[in-house]
Amino acid sequence: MDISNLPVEILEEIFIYLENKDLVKCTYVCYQWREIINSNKIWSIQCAKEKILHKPYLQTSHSLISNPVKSFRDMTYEPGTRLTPPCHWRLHFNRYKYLERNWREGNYSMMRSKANAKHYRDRLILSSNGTGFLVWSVERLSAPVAGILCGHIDLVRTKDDLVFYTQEDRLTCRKRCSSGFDFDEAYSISFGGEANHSNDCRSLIGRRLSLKITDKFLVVLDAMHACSLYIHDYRTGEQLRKVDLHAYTGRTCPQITCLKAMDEKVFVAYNLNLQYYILVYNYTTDQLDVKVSAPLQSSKLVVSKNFFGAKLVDSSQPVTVMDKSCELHVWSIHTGVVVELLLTNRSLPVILTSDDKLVYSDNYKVYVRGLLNSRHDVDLTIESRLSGVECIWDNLLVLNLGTCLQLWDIETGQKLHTYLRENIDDMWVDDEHIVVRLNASPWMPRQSYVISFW
Amino acid sequence: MPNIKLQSSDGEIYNVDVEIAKCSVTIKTMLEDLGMDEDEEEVVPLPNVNSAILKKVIQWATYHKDDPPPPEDDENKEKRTDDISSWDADFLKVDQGTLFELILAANYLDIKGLLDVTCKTVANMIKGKTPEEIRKTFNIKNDFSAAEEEQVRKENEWCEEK
Repeated sequence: MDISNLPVEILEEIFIYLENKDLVKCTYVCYQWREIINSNKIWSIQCAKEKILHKPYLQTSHSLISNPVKSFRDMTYEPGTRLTPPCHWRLHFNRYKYLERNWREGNYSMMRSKANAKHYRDRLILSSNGTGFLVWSVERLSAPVAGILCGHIDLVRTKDDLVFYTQEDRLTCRKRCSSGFDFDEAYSISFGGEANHSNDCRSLIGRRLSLKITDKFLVVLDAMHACSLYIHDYRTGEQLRKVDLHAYTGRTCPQITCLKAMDEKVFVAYNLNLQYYILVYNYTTDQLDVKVSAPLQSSKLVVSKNFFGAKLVDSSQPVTVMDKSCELHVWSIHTGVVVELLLTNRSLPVILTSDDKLVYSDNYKVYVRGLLNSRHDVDLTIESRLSGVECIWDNLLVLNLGTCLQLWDIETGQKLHTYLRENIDDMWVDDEHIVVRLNASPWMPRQSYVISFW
Repeated sequence: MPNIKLQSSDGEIYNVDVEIAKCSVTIKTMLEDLGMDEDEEEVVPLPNVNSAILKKVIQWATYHKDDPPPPEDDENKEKRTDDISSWDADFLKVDQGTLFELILAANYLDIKGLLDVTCKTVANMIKGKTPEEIRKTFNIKNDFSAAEEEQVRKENEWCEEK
């Protein structure tokens, strides 16, 4: 009796327990094993483990083919070979590994653009001017692909093939035509109309509408007009729900300081009677998951799957640049319990990563703290103060140091690459790109760089 | 407690507590579907399991009789192999032939807990080994042609650790 007597379904059950590196080794063992492992069931589980099931760009290999550094081709299988072509999820996994490796190995291209980037998401860069805004595609950076004349805008965002902008109390959505880069109006929604001049309803955000778009919906908060959350289908504009915030905040209109959204959750931060509150509204259950408060002031919120955090300051205290005067609080979304409380610098960035790591900084140090698992805690030493940070693939950090970008591996604590020694203002990061806006100088208008990985 | 008689392929009869025998979904459904009366002195033939393996299976089921029912398979749940209890690990210190026969018996008798733990044990025998070491462990012949091996190498190119 040996292993070849086991039926295929059992061998498949055994292979499902393996990590991808062991699976790859098993494909070399013999023809039968390679064929069993070449299954969508096995590789979709591997893709789920790496959280790449819902990354549609991995399905299209067009951008991978053009890599001048190393060519990537889908395998071609001559007729006559016994091997079946790699299954769908195996190719998906291969493309992901290929992309991740190019981040690590520093295989990228860099393009300069005249875009004065205000926002970046889903391959579109948006830049605004007094008469509307311009849309730039990361695939064609030489000139904007579309210009939308709509007058002064407060806020502009993009998601999938849609762009959204707000003007006073109006939200407009435009959809990209399938044939090119024309954006036609899809819908337009007016919230609230005239402001009701209630002096209690004020915003610290500086514009009237706040807008967040998740994979499930878009949420709008009109700070001037009653305190309601408007939740709409972001594709059609159809209203899904109107949530009366007074039910949760009491009768007085609070001063809204921040709106965030993630998956089915909406986070609202506000000040009321010298207290700072954060409430987490769950769209699926139509209830508050949790509400927390602290006797301090703040304006910004960071959120992840299981936690949310904010820097809280005593606004009566003077600010000095190097001080550690602000309290960084991190709460559990499920219980509202404070899981981290530390003193940090008021002006340095903080993020929560998608796999619940807290990344914060003080002068010349960046700290990574796993909130669920401290196994990968690491401290990084940097040469200058941190201006921005993003996490990619759960294990790489892109640091904006103001004068350059750096890529660090937070599993080993090693610096991998330095990019772009320029005067950097802001950056946006997704799986394939880093979009960077440079600071304007007296002799040069603002411009941007796009670093692309294949 | 009522008992039931299980007969192995080589004719040996084991007298087993019905509750223990019912951890096998195959036996449980057989008793339910056929309306076999638990008091009757009937013998359940198990033509796919020999007496040595049946004895091991009964030993495993007796030890685990008070375990909560195994959770339904959840696609999203990570499949771990480092959670084998020390009793199971000792129980499975057997030669490969016995291990594979236990897998086949667990599969035939539909005992999820035993199938899971035996599959995990085999997975652990594969982990961390080179292809050549895996072939040696399981006595597998490399039957790839040179061209096929090259093809497999190409499709793994991006996934292998350096």
